[in-house]
Amino acid sequence: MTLQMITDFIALNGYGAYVWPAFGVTVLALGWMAVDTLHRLRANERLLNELQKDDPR
Amino acid sequence: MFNFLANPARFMRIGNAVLPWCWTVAAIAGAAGLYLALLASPADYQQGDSVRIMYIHVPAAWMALATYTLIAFFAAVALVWKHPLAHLVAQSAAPLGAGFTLICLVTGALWGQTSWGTWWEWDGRMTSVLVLFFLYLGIMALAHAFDDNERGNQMSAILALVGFVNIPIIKFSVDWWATLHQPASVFRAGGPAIHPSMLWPLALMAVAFTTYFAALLILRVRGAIAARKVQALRLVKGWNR
Amino acid sequence: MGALLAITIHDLRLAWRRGAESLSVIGFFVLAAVLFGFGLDGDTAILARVAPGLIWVTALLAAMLALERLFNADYEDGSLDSLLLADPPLELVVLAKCLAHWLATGVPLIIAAPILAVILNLPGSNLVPLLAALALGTPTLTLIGAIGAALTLGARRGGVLISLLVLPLYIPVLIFGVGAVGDGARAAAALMALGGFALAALALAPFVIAYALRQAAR
Repeated sequence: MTLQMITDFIALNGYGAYVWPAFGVTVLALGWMAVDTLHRLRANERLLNELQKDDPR
Repeated sequence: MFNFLANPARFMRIGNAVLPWCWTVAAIAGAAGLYLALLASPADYQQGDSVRIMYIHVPAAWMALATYTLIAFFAAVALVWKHPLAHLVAQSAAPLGAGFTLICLVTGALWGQTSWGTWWEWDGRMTSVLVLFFLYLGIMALAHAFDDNERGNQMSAILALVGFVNIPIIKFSVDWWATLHQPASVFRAGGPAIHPSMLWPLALMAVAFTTYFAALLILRVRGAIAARKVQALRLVKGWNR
Repeated sequence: MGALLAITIHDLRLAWRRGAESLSVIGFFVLAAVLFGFGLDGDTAILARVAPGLIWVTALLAAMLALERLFNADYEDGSLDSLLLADPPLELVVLAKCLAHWLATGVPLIIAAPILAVILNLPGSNLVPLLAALALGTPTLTLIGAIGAALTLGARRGGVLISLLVLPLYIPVLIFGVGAVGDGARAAAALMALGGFALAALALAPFVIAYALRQAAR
């Protein structure tokens, strides 16, 4: 894995300036989807646990 | 209310069982797909390495359409059979669908700039995908616009069904109007017209996106069910005070 | 039939009472066209090219601005419930109200269109296609808009929400509406598409609207 190979891979024959932002945006969007989902899940389950502790039913 | 509590438990049992499989398949398909997409597949003879964006753009587009179809299906179920869980699933899927649509639009703009020389074109497909994005936003906004949650869900479901007319427009727009977009190469009568070295990463990324979506949907629905229980418990506590 | 006519006249009278609204609507269109003329520095060549688009966008905005009032007054004072129980089917009542809305927004635009065409330097041969396109398209705008109005009854920030909901559904009408202003086969095809939209909206929208109104009244 020479430095030349790595720089070639990043440059992608000049298209790198478009390809990498595309993949980057995708990772960000997918990541946000996961973070938001998990955040909501944890917040709601925490609330539910607290409410059910005071009032076991 | 206890009728509602019974079914979701079954739903969550199935969901929780399926969840680890979804993550695993997503990880494997994603890794394999990315490897093929970025390293082991050929550059296009016309578009060079920019074609690698296709391996994200196209599966994202498929997800955007499939998710909307899912939402419309559950919206119809919710309106006809009045099952509250159907509303939850539709509403949980909406932000995920919006996310995939956004990915499709942004990667499409980047890809378009390199291969057609323009970031955007008001052709049939791009315009209708933009419309799809606004429909997603509308579905989410409408559901939360009312003090009465049930009413919000119902109006949102109606909107989802009205907007479903956009889906065939997106699918067939490249056939109806001669445009920059190429006509269908995978889902067409006669089978895919694309070389296996490109079809494999495409399929793998599609599988990865689908299983990722399924995992997140299960978790979102789980969160939504918990939120419903919180609401119900708070109501009961309010009475007992 | 008598009841439907009464509803239409009632709504129109309400619109009229809000300060001779139809006249001010036409005035709004002419003013908008004049502003566009100034804004584009009186460049007649550019004006001629963008005239169809400008006129159509004005049509959209005019339809959208009047949507919030379509059902709100009845919803707030409770007469929506009596409309639900009234003799004529709710779908026809809805059509009557949409007719009133169209008479207050779409028809003034069609009347103002020749004036706008002159101000915006639209080629004379395009006037008839423009009028035809508006005649077919503006009722569709009203009907689709009414769906949005019915869905957002009683919502928080209803006005902004209506625009968000209705805009994506308006875009095809806008695209074909502008496309129909011209000559040749493409324009004729666009005009037919507009006609198709109008028929579909006429057939389907009243049922969707009535369904949403029934949910709202519960």
